Amino acid sequence: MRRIYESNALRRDDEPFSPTDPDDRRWTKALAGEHRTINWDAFSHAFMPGWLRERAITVDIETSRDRYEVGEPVGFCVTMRNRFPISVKLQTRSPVLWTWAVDGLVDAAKIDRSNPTERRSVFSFGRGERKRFERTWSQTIRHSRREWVPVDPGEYTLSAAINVPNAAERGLAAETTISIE
Amino acid sequence: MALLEVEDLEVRFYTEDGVVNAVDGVSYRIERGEKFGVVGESGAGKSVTALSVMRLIDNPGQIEGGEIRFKGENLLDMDEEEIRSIRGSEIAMVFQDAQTALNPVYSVGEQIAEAIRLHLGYDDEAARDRTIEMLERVGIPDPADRYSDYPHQFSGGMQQRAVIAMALSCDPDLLICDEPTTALDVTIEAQILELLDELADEFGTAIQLITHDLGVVAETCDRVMVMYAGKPVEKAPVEDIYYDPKMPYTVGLMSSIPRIGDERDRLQTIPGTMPDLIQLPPGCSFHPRCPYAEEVCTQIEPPLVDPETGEPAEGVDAERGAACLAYTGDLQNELGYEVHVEGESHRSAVRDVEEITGGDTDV
Ligand SMILES: Nc1ncnc2c1ncn2[C@@H]1O[C@H](COP(=O)(O)OP(=O)(O)OP(=O)(O)O)[C@@H](O)[C@H]1O
Ligand code: SF4
Ligand SMILES: [Mg+2]
Repeated sequence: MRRIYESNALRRDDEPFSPTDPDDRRWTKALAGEHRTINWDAFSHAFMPGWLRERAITVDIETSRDRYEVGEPVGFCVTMRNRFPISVKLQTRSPVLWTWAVDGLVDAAKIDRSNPTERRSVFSFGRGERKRFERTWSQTIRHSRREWVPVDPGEYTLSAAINVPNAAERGLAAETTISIE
Repeated sequence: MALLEVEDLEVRFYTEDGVVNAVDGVSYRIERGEKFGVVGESGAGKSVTALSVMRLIDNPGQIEGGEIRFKGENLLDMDEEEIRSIRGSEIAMVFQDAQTALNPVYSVGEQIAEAIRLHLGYDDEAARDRTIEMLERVGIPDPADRYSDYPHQFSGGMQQRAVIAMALSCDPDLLICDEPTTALDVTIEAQILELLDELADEFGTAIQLITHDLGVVAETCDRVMVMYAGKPVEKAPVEDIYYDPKMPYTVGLMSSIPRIGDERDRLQTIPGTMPDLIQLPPGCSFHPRCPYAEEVCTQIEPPLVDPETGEPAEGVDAERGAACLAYTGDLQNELGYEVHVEGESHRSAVRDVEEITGGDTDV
């Protein structure tokens, strides 16, 4: 679990009643002359065209098995990889950087919360970075804020996509099919 | 108008791993001079709720919904300058551990005096005098001599006393204490809580006390909100929660109240852990751990309702509410537990929660 007091999500400054920063590296950074070196990541971002940046990233989705019994939790894993030796940043539609879906329903829900705000955001990949995310689908579809309905036996498509427009066409999505019997 | 009214607060953290729904639909109010307890296991969203009231949540955290009205004004609409004038002088906070609040490079006295100068506009000498007075009031011996000591020269208990002195030095109307005693041993804990209680009465300060420990709440607070997985699951006057808990999670917390001096893990009697807030189980978030869970608990999330009438109790003003399908008529069996309390004081009482019947646990 991320702890709020140990994270950067807590505003810290010199004002009394706001927590002090245990890790104030401003000075050491300045001493190390960090401001003088070229930021290669920003550099490559500025000069690499968007279509090339997208080619760098692969998305993959894998379930623990192909067949499940009714009611059995479906564990799956989403892997994303940057194939390039330079860092890549993709602009996403909202701070939700990626989504997963069952038969096209994001988060297996009929209420789509993947773009809660208009605010765009950035999904960053380090050089050659691989990211892995684990999820479990409970074999239910959320019909409303407070109601979930179990699905019937049959085939279901699980998918994952980076939260950009037309992710599938741009190669930033993946899907797999399972059967529930 | 209540001193603080939090209405339908929603706070999320946008992480690479997913969206953390840290606070989801939390409403409560605190009256002037009242002591309000917030209880729940680690990760329930207690600190994030409190830090939202202080407007101290920063990226990737976002306050995405609701209102936080202090004396009728929505803190979420205020600009940074307005917030600064309230933070510290009208609402002060004692953080989970004293080291977060004290800056190691300034003397304890200087830090308190600085707060007083900033918020009350005192000159140097007056600020120093008031600091010494406050240090004395919180039980620091030889306060004039200790004024120039650095935080590391204070013991943990004394550091927390100094933080309380700092928090109360500007006479705030609301003091938020975020587990002020978790880092301390039990005897010091009892002393600090007593001190807080006493000072709050003396200064007329309202307190929002956050803790893992329902025993602490029972001793100190007037009303309580129990949180689980970012949501309020029970709200009640302290007597009711103590003698007549309605939500199975609260019952679990109650049966784990230790007797004084008993240092075993306070929540070990509820098996399992709180779910990941990125991916909550469907239905009632507590169902994987609830001894009374039925199939319906995996399909419907119980709203907060009045356990007597079943009427909605999600609002700011609701006195009594519990989030369990037993009170919405959706549960087939009854919740089968009985609470026995022996002894006078809440804290030292021997509690015994007996399960009489149980629902189907294999869901
Ligand atoms: N910077 C962060 N990034 C992502 N998630 C966070 C961050 N800070 C807190 N959280 C999440 O928010 C949720 C609520 O955390 P919070 O600190 O409010 O819990 P708490 O009830 O105060 O727990 P404790 O008793 O351990 O202090 C947790 O699930 C936590 O993982
Ligand atoms: S009985 Fe069901 S609704 Fe009530 S607390 Fe247990 S799991 Fe939740
Ligand atoms: Mg906390």
